[in-house]
Amino acid sequence: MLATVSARIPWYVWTSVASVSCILSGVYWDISWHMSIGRDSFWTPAHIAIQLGGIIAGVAGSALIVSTTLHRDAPLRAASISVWGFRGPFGAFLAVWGGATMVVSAPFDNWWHNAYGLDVKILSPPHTVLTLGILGVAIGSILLVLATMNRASGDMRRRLEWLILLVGGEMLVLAMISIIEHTFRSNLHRGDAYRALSIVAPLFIVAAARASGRRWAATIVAATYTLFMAAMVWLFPLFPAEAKLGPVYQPITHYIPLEFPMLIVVPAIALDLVGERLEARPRWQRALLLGPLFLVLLVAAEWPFASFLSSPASRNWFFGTHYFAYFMHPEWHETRGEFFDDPTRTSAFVQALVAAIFSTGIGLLIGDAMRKVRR
Amino acid sequence: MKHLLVLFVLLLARPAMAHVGSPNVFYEGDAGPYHVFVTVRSPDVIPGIATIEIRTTADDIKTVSVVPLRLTGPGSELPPAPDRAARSSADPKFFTARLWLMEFGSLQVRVTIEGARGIGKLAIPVPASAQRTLTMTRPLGALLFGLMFVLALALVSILAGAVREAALEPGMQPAARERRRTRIAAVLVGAAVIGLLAFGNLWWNAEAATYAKWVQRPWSLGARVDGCRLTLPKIDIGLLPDHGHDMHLFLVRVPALDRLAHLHPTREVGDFTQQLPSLPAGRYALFADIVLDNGFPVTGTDEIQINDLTCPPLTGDDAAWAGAPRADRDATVSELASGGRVRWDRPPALRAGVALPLRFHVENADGSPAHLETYMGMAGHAAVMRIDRTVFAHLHPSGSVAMPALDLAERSIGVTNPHAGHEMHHLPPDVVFPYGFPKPGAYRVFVQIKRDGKVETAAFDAHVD
Repeated sequence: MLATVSARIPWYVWTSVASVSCILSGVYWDISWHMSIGRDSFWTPAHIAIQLGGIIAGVAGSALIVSTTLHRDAPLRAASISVWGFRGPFGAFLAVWGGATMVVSAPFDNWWHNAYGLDVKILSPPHTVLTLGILGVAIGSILLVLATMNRASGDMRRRLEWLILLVGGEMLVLAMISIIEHTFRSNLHRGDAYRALSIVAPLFIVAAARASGRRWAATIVAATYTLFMAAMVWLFPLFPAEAKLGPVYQPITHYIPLEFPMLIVVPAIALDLVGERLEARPRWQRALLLGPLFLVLLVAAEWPFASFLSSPASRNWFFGTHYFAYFMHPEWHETRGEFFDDPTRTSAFVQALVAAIFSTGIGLLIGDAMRKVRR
Repeated sequence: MKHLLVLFVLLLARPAMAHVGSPNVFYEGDAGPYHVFVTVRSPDVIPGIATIEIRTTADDIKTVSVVPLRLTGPGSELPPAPDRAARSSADPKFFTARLWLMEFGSLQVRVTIEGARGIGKLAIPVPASAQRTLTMTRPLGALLFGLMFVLALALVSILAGAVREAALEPGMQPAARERRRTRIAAVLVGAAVIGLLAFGNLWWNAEAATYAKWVQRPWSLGARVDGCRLTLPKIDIGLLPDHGHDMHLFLVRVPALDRLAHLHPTREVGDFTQQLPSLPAGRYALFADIVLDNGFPVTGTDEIQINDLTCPPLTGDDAAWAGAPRADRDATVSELASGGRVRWDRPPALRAGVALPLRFHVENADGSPAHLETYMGMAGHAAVMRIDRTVFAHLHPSGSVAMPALDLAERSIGVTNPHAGHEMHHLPPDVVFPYGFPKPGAYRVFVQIKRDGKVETAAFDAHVD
């Protein structure tokens, strides 16, 4: 029964990859839509892509749970967990939970708009409910792939390791997008930007890399993020768009992409190089060494790079720093190529250091736990 | 960017607003060759959707489109893609559009009309501010709470189930060790979920409190009376003069509404000061209109006790009126103090929310049409007041917009005459104020005109359904 896993990649692995990819493209497209066009409805293509991702995961997960619960000889019966009398893979339950949470966020979000106005922020309470739902779908999907990978061997396992790194990279993109309000380039000489990066980036990079078990896994995950974000900077401006909300502060003739990727690939390479040598040490020691290493290398790379991105030299199609959302006031730091002051820089960097250690440690913990998932 | 955004909002928005309880904007004027009556129904929340209604007298209009911009400075020059207004199937001269107002502060709505006589444009200042915060209805609250409870319970169950079985090789049954770990995991995950929900609750309250700061609040004037001198504390904000005055102050004796003074305090060493007219003792409601230098109009309110005052006569544009106390029956005729009368050509029933021209006809004592003169550049001024003072609006023949803001808006489209459409040289005996009563109730409408060099006031009681 389980031998079939090593023969052919099962359908639910592909639906898992499709679900996360749909959500990622939808989220990116939606943010670009809000920066370029502004006005949206429930039925924009970007929203449909996000919902489709949730539907794919929810339906696939439900189908797995129903068939595994009802049929004693179902292929995954032996590799299932029990919840409220139902049986199915752990990832399937989490994906269904995520899909349901995404649905619940809709009336909450609608009420929020009526009560407090349209929330143009990425992080608001209803958007956080949606984000939790998306996280449920994405983590559920990666767990479905993981459990399959952890039961597989040989060539099949290697193929699934690549898929884990791909989905892990996509989740890293989603996580990095969730903190873009802290990491605009005008903020990149402030401590709080690096605190936000330290909370998010090591966790996702280390967990995905650890779960896959491949060499250069952290580099591959970070490179997936880098390539995706850079490719969007190059591709999105090729498509025409016009602002449909006002006031308009910047002329819009095409889609505005998000900013050029952070250079997290630099510390990710170091995580791979140094992490390999620390393999024998206990987890907390690795976190104590790798977390600060990540932060130091990130600051060393990103700080001067941010200066370059704020200079006229970067205002070209490759780095895309001349693209501004329609609502960006010409007096803002971002549009003037300036950095915000940071009176609390020291304490923010101390917090960033602590965050990097904890984030790395939790990433190791989750990654190791994910390696054990069989169901 | 987030910090700048906050600063930007602080600089451009004020948690007070033009008029009191009357957030909609009414404007009558010309878009090139087309005469229009425009109503901007403000959204309750910002960002939110305003409804724009355009009523025309022309029957050769092809399309009407609207765009929002800032009134001045950055954001006032690049229009977004216009919204096409829909023509009413019942009335081909009536158009409506829904327009997103994305920012607090001093905005404008530009209307472009295309028709057989070419293209006509007009710009209307729109002060965008939040009116309220919605409370959650009990059924929706119960539904969302129930869903939250089920989802929280499901998450705990799924994660506990995962701790129990997910790491077991296929086919293995959980042993006592796994079962014990499951119980511990359930407690820990349950605590984490409760902690997450508590954090969410704190965050929600903080967001609601932040938003509440931007909901329109009355600006309390802090007025003081010392003999015939009224003083209002200084305002450290640049103001635009409205009809040559920094402030238009209305005093109304309450609750009878039988005394009215329309005054224009001046700034002396920062404070606003004003000489009062002779007034009988009583409590007086104050409504003060100012226009900030970005074109955002603000109305302040107060209530003061005045003892019997005998003061020198008013001068300049200041005017006072004494008349009959308000009555519960509707009035269509109001006698003027120096002879003659004003007739209100009103519909049989007034309905809340309906935009209409408030049309008044001024007659001399012998019934002949009066020759009106401009009063502060206008054919007339009107003050609409709900008797409980929850509504107060200062109107002109061009509508409820503040004239300096209208001037800024019209200059932004190249129109230099702020009173376009209102010829001032030969004033007819009729004066019209575009308006819509915001809610049902009893109102008094004061109409001020100038005749034979004297400002005269008529008062009308009206019940709005």
